[in-house]
Amino acid sequence: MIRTDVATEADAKRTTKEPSFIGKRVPKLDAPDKATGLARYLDDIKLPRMLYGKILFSGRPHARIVNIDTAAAKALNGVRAVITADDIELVPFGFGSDNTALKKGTVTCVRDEVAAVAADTPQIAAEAIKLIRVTYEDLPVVASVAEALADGAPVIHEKAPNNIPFNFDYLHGDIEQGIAESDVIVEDTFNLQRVTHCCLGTSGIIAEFDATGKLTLHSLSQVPFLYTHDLSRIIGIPPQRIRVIQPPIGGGFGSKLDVHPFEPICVFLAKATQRPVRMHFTREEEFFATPTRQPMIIRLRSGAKKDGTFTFRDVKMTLDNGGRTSWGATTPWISMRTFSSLYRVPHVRQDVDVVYTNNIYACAFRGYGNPQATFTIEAQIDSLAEKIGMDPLDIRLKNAQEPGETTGQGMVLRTCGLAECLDTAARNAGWEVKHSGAQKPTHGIARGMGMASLFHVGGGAKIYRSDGCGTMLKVDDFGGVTVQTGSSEIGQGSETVIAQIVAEELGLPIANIRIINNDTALTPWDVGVHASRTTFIAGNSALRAAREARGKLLDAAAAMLKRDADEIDLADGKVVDGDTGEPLESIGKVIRGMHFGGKHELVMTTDFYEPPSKAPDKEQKGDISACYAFGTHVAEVEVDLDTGVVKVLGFSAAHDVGRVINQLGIEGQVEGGIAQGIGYALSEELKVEGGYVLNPTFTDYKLMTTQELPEIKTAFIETQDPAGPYGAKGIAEAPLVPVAAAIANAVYNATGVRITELPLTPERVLAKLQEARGDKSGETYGETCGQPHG
Amino acid sequence: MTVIQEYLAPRTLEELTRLVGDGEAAIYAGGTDLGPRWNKDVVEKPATVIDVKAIAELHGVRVDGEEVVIGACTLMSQIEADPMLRKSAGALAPAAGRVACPQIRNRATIGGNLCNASPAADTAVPLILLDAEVELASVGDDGVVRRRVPITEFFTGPGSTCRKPGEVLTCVRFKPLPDTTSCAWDKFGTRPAMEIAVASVGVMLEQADGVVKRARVGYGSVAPTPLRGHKAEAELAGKRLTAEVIERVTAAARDEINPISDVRAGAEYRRTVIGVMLGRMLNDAAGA
Ligand SMILES: Cc1cc2nc3c(=O)[nH]c(=O)nc-3n(C[C@H](O)[C@H](O)[C@H](O)COP(=O)(O)OP(=O)(O)OC[C@H]3O[C@@H](n4cnc5c(N)ncnc54)[C@H](O)[C@@H]3O)c2cc1C
Repeated sequence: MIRTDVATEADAKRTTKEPSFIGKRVPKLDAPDKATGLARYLDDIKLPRMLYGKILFSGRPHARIVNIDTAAAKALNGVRAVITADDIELVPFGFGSDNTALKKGTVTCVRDEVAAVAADTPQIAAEAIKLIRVTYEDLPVVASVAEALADGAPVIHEKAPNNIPFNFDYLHGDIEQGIAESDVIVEDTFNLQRVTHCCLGTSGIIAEFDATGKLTLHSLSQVPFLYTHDLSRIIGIPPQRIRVIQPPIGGGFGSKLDVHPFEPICVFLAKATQRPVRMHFTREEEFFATPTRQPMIIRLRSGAKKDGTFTFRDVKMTLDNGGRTSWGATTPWISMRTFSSLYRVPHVRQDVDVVYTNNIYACAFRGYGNPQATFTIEAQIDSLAEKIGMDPLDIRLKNAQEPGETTGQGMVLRTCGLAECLDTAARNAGWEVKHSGAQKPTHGIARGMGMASLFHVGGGAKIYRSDGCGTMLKVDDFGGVTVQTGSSEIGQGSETVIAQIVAEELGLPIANIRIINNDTALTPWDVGVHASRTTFIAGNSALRAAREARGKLLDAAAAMLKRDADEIDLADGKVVDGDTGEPLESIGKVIRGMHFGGKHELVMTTDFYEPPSKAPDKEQKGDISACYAFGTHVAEVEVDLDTGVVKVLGFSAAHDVGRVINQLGIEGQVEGGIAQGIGYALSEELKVEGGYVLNPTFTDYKLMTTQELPEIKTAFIETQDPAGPYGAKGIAEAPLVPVAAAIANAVYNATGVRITELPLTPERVLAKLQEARGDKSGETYGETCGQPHG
Repeated sequence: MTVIQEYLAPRTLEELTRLVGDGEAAIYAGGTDLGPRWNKDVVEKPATVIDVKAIAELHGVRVDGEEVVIGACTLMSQIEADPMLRKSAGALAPAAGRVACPQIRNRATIGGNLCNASPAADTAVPLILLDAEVELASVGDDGVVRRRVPITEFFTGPGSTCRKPGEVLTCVRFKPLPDTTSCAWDKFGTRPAMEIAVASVGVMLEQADGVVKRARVGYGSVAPTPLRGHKAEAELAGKRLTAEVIERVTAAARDEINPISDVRAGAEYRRTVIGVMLGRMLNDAAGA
């Protein structure tokens, strides 16, 4: 199979050889430090003269700021600065340009930043915050999408008088024709909840200026270059005077794609005090003052012919945007790709209203609108299958795309392992016996099995002018390699993958490879960690830089050894005979030979890899990614019919990943995604009522723990994508995407009750079961409020 | 300002009761309830903290005459593993084993669990089943003064007990359950691990020839305090565990509890799961 443009005949010969590192189980390079506590996270960093910053949040969903009195806070001993919107230049930012670092005039959600302090200790900062007196005039609160769209609803931002700042509409085919061609049609309204990332490391930043006004940020951004650019505008400092250093990042999952208000606020505090300032959120702040996944109401209609062929999908989505807009408002750009291209569908329409409310606002979160879309599509596929009398596996196989197809949205599936994923996941789960087999409930317990697939970008996504990544690589004395990559490590294991690729190409042990990936002063440009792109894009860039270095080494070694460059190879730190593998010279010696003799040259290479994808056209169509990822999940569940408890007994996942680079890493990625997905399906919900967050603690925001996780079987379908590094595609977001859909389908299989809301808490499940059984008490369950005693 | 200024660690009960005095200082055991509350700024940190863990008398499980005594500072992990408690303290050891996670169980004390007085305290219902008493000590004219309070009278509301400001909980006392009894206890949460009970229920039964001679029932998280189930007990007394009896008992249970709706669950749902859990326990007991 033909690979990237730099592939040579010698490469082709080597590909037949068993790789040393690719596909192997390689522990993450940062794991030992993290496991032993040596990793220096943001709150381990203490700079000389550093102050501690803290923010006063509005604590009100909708109000006009009448007056802010900071006198008492300023007078407190140890307080070095107190700032409000009056002290800074207010530059609008965010996707909707409706946010500012500190707020002036009106606050539109409880997390709106109103004032901030910098003080000698965190305690003094917290005390000072309490001394700031803000007088508000409360405004009517818009607590839900329905309230926002009601006649005469209060207007939250002037520029959207109807409270709908954005639409993301899409069409391919002709819905009327699709309806006419259908033998069966189903329609449901789905309600998807608000969940949040729960990064173990909470948000934070350190800002420091040098004497010439250059700014250094210790920032947890997952997109350091775009971030520098965005932030630069907000704080009025040119990007070339900003340096972003990333300490180890304790989780991203999309939460760090935006510039968040606390970041410019911290810069303003550092500027006001001329001292380094650190700001670090408490867990409670992390829960209510950082953005979440979008809650969505999705009305979907879809149809099929008698033989199972899908005909159309017609979707109307309403998103609770919250009181401000982050990049996350654009998630319908991704959900539309799922609606258009998860299985083959000739006619698809998406109609989206993004709606302002006075709730806390949403941002990007792993899957970016895809889990919500997949949940609805896959539920209806089961309904269609049932109406037609077809097995859920068969109807999916019937509509699974084949390699070479172009989807209705113009995405070209050069490789596509969807059918294989369906087969493999089902086989590993024991589908035939467990899905259709006799499943009479015993002792009030019912068992069932459900499946769902996913479609996602696998080779980046061209949503900016470039979707590229740069690499600078040097091979130095003794065969040590330093790779400077634009891509960031946020726990996903990308630096290990890059080290594997470079080690593979240069025939060096992984221990010889050092990855520099956390300092914009040193690393070349990259779009950032999003769109499941790092292994694919940064991996390709590293691969190409390493291949060029390999060429240089082989040329120099050939000259030294008086051999042909084609006849020799690099392996185990040595130059070896290409055929026999006999060691000829150490790589270190070749490099020293290059430095001290011959042409006096260095082995340093650079690469900028731009994937062969296209920006979408005005209709949002086009081949946005260099390749596409597929997968199928099968869940087996047990439902307690008396209490509504859903227990996941087993999970089987098969993913088309092109090629596995790090077996250990990819298993972890899939298992982690499934764990996160089970939480989304069963227990996680950030409850917001009247604009207030009710459960900003891990006591009442229920993450799944290891105790709840089932045995997970993972399988990888290696379709060898021609554009991927060694054939690999992205996997990052994918494993979360179909989990909730598979579980809800399994609950349906077990109980015959279709639940169109998440999470499937015992209380909700029991209410639906009772409703279906005709018990009257069904509707007395449901939404609850108030604070717990315990 | 919210900083603790004084940390005291007395070595004897006498010293402790004197230091506690009028009760301004915070009594600190494992800190697993106090710590999170201080961190969240829910309550102001006190100026003085008195750590009770250095007092030997407050630790461990022992026999005193007819009674089993569990020191206030005994850890959940110790209770969970203690052979005597596993044998004769009904549901107490298993309930202690369901508190939070191993890390918390290695810090959390039974005294803290009770004095914190959450309606969800996992050791409370098992102690109701044991008809246990708590012992409170304070400083008097001639040294330490002790009094005993039945567990059902100890709790007075969410977060409040009849413990007076100058009193310390020293131990829990109860008569071991005879072999002729059986106990069951369960808690319900939206996930099995790391879960504060949404509802919990326990039952102690002494049966002879298939007839219930003695029964005790207790509930957690379904009223302002952990609750004794008198009505359910009355339905059990002298009966055989037939389906109709079990139905009447669970109905009585649903009726005598007084749950609230909060962010964790609705009141009606709490009633349902209490009935289901208790029904299942009684069915098991009937089968045994
Ligand atoms: C993550 C987490 C999970 C939890 N899960 C559970 C759970 O599943 N089930 C459950 O029941 N609890 C749970 N808890 C609550 C807590 O762990 C228990 O209540 C624990 O037993 C408290 O004991 P402690 O020694 O840590 O109390 P502390 O925090 O030290 O004290 C608690 C209160 O009791 C007072 N006090 C302590 N000892 C005495 C004494 N001898 N005399 C007088 N007053 C005293 C203190 O002043 C304070 O008011 C959890 C807590 C956390 C943080």
